[in-house]
Amino acid sequence: MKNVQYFSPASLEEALQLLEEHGSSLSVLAGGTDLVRDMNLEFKIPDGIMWIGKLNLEYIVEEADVIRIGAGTRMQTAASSPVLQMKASAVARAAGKLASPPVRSLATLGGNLCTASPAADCGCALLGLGAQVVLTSKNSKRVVPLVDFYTGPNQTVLRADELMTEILVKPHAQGEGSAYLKIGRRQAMTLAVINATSRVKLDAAGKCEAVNIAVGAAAPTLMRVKSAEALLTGQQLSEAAIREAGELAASEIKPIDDVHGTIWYRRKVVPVLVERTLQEAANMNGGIQ
Amino acid sequence: MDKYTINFTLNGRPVSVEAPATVNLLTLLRDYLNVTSVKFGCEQGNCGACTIIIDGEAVNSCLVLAQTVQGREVVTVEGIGTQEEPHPLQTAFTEYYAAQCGFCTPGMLMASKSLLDHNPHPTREEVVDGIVGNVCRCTGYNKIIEAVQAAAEEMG
Repeated sequence: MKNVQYFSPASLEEALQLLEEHGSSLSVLAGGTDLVRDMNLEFKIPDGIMWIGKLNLEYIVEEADVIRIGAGTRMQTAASSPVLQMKASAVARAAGKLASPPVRSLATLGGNLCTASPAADCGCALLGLGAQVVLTSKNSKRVVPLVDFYTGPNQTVLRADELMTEILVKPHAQGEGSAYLKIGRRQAMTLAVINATSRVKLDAAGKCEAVNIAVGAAAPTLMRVKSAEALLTGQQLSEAAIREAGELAASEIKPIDDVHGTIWYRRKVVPVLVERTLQEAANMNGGIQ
Repeated sequence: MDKYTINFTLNGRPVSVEAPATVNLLTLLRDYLNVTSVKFGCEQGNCGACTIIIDGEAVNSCLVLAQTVQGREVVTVEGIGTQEEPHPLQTAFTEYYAAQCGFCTPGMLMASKSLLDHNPHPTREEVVDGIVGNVCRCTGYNKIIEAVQAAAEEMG
């Protein structure tokens, strides 16, 4: 049996020093809903565990053109945050749909991103919102767009000496909205078979000034649907355009058959969720013409 | 294997216990402290049988590393009422036949208590959402929901 070391740093400086010294032999413990589960099932027994629950990384601060979210912010905190509900609705919704209330009192946004499940609820929402993440090490700090963060299933660009400390989201501007939806095998307590997020900004004439579309459980990583985004940008958000965006999403994804769903089903469902999230995101600011 | 001392409050009383880093709170409570109301179900956070309350919030104790409760307040079903003075939820669970085999009952009680602590007058839908992470394989959900609603009414 391994002699597993446990560290509970009291400050960010201390935590970054430990990561600097121990590197990849140290597993970062945030909410524990992935790491402790993996340890329980003996999927993974780390050499060392560093709990980051005392670093004061749970906060949501709205500044002029950015919402700064501490990476240790838990799902229930995100779901009930008026700032996120109003100005980054997709992530508040996704956090409130994740698992169950007891899991939501543990699981953190940073953990959801760093576990890098291709089906992650908040990962999908934050990718669709165009979020950036702050990765901090003892000697450096870098801001990485979430779209460049994932490199494969459960793989990211996060280095062993780095800690994700903050998530940056641009708040909805006037005429802008976002929406998140997921289809699971049941209503609650379920992994996404497909999930989708749209962020839509309409101009005064009702044309699509900017649009992000993200889907999950549809490829090796969460993905943006660039072809559909390009199609809609500058267009009137008509029913026909929305339908075409959904069809583009179905052709761009690379789903697999697994216990949660089949390729066939995922290709059928993706357009539906893309369409619905686009409509919902656009309806938040005056509706589709 | 190195052991670490954990000091915390369990059902209002201070406890001190030594355990290796890998032990989860479910195992600590059952095997180190003999608190057997906390049930061992899936160890993945899927079943809710091990639900307890830490610092006022319901959590799955199987997903909590025991070391992390250092200095915190842990409440199990033993801490919410006694046989002489049961919690209104415990009374309602008895009166409404909300326990069949009883395996899910401690977790159901703790999830329900956390729900009522945060939302004293939940709608039926909110009760369902509050216990959505607690599986009852006897599928006695209606009785459980009725009991939680009755307890909410009783508590005013």
